[in-house]
Amino acid sequence: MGQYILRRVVHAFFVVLGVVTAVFVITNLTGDPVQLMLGEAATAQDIERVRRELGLDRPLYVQYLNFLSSVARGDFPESLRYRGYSALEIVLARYPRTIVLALAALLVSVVLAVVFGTISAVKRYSVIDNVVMLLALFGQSIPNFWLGIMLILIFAVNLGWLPSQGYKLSPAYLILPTITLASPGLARLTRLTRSGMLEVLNSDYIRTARAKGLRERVVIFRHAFKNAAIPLVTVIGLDFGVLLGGAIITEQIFQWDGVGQLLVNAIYSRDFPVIQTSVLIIAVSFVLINLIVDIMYTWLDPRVRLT
Amino acid sequence: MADPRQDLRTPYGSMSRNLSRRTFLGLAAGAVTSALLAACRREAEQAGPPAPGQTPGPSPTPAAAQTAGPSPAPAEPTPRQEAVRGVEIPKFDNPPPGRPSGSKPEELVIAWGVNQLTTYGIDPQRHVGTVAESQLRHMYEPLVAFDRDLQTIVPALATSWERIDDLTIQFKLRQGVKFHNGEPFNAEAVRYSILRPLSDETPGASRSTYAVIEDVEIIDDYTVNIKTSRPDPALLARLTGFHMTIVAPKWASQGPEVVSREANGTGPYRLVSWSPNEDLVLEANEEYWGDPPEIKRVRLVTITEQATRVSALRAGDVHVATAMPPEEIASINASGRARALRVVGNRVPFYFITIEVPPYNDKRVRQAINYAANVQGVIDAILLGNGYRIATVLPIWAFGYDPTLEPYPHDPEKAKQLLAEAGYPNGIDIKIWYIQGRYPKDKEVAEAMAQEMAKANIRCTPELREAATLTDMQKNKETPGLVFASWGNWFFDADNTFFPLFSCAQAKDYNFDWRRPYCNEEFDKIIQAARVEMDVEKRRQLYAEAQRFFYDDAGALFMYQLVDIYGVNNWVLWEPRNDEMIWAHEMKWNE
Repeated sequence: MGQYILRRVVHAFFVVLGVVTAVFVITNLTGDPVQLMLGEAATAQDIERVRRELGLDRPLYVQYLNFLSSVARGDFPESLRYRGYSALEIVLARYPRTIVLALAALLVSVVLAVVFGTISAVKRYSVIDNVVMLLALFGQSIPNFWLGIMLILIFAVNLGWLPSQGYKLSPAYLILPTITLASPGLARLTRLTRSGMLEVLNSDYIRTARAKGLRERVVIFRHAFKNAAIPLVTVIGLDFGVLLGGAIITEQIFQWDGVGQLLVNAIYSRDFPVIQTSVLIIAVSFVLINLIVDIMYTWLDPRVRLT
Repeated sequence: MADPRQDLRTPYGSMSRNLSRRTFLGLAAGAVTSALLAACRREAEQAGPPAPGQTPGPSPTPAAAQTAGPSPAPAEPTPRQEAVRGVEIPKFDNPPPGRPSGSKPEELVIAWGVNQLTTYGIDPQRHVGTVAESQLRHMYEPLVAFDRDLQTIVPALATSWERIDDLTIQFKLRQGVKFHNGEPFNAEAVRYSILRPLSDETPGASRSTYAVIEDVEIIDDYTVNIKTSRPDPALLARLTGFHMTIVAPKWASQGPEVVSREANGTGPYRLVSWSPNEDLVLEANEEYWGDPPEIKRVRLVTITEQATRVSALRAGDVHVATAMPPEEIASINASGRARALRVVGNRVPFYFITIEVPPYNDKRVRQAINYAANVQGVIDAILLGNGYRIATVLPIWAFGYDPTLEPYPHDPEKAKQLLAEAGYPNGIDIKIWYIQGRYPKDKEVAEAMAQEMAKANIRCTPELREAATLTDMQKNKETPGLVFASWGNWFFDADNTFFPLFSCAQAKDYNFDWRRPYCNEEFDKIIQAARVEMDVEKRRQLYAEAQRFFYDDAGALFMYQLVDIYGVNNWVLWEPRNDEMIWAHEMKWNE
């Protein structure tokens, strides 16, 4: 296991390096940040001066090596958009918000999906099943931005129950963005749980368990669900990874200043250090979650060995 | 004579433009006669403005005397904008505030769509963003400021001034003013602050605009002489602009990191908290030298998503919201919680034309483009009337604006004829390069104009690009044709449009690439002469000449001034300004 993890870490190092390099090259090909930073009223002289100040007049490979060496020393470069603040500082200030929102959305979607998916599977073709599947279809097909705006219009503008936007660590501010963010994942996971459960419920060992006279609850939760959960864990892991990359649309609609918004703004303003640092952090998170998912397999399915 | 404001009083303000332009011009032509008077007045401002309470020169109207009062007179809009430069600012018939709903808010929340407190944090002297300026001017003040008419310069931290010679203006400073940290405001503070954004250690983003300022001499504790390296007729106006606010010198000399994170000005509000990308929270400065603001606590926020900004206004979560979409005006007014207020704004979108490549090198082609684009039709159809058609690129209140010049009419036949004369009887194929999302309906406007031009055999391919990419392409001369640009002339002087955008000196600075594609030596002679002409009337004539030349040369595709649409909660009493400045100290609670 220890060796396995070590190997994965070495792997991860090259994955992250590859991602950072690719992002560095692509962002640098796309345009010059200085004009954007200074605004339209800046003159050519002012632009040239700032470009020199920021070292953007140096060759690309020098900038690249500088970036890598400063990251390796843990001394992240200064943001171009927020001068005087290190890119890491900027990213880490927003990352917790993204994590909070992602966790909330994940929690909501997993709990509800497991409950409804299981009920649906057990009561196949019942009214409940049909209603759940219909809702799941809606959840998957309604565009995120539309759902978000509708929720704001209903619950903030018309009913006045919840704040329309903004970030505060309170349930009231979290509810609407969580629902918006959770809905597509919830729908997908519900369907996945249902189909997984159906497959398992029809298998021989379930028939055996029932034949032994086990109670239905034990059959479903201990025998059936644990086996149906394997594909679920994979999808949840991937979903969570994506959520940690920032839910750009949801963050934008609710002015929830997380990494997603930061990254989009950084791209628009060509804030190279922030783009690279965000991508670095997101890539590291993604790799970490994948690792956790793999380790969870061994618990769910003892046949899986990590060697 | 019909009141030109009448034209704006239609449901969506889709001004019946042909009529309004004519009445407007009628009025303006009448005003030419009064231009002489106005000129005298301007002269009075330039050469030696009033001491507090003293009426300046031959003042054309009683109300004009009022505008030159001793202080910037917060929150008291002049009931009728006087034609100081021969131009009346058109007004919309905005709805009155409705009954406020719910309990009185504890703090005032103002929401913008963009955040400009980025590169230089909350340093008031280095950025060049109007939003940043609007926010930071709550805490910092300049020596002199523009009154709401954007034509009269009024005292702020200076109480009076006098032009001593072509290179020097002497300022008397307000006494007994303290910075938020207790430092005294005096000549030393002025000298430090004016020179700070010109220095190499803390250069302002638009330093070269102010490079003409050579030195600030301290005469005594409350008197300074500001000296320029060449005669600068626009110096006083320049001093109202970006970079020219006054900071507490001892505090600021700790370094740019300190000034970009903390705030110590003399303004009506002081800083409570700010960090990058977070709300800017302010509280009233009870020791303010003027009347302390009535609204005690203010939160300045960014809500980038337009639909969310509208919702937040309608939900009562924000009290003043900028850049409301024209199609939401009715729903805001019907919300019972807020109202939509409109003013003609200072920002001028236009299109550069790459005049060095055929067919754009022929001025008849450029004229044809201006005749064919049907700008007024596009304003009416796409912006629902929320644009103010202008003849060139100068906002109507800019010094030097020539009200007698009429915008290019929509005339596809004339365009075809001009193309034929230029040797293109079958029309031309051109490109229009534009961006999306910076200004209301920028993309739709570009595409509608492209379609309109097709009717005059100008087959125009729309080329949408992301902003930074477009800038890079301009730099590499990859954008032949019409290239989107916009300008907010922040001290309302023709010099601050023509020189930075269309002078050969700037074109040269930009290596003659297509970020500044216009350079014409004949035109350059006129604007260079106007730059140093100290005689106000001669200078005005030079700019009139410049505009006629530029218009005839069709140096750009001329469009309109934006109409700014604000959403304002019924708890707030406020008359929006034309210069994009949104100041809590000009607002009151509706009690």
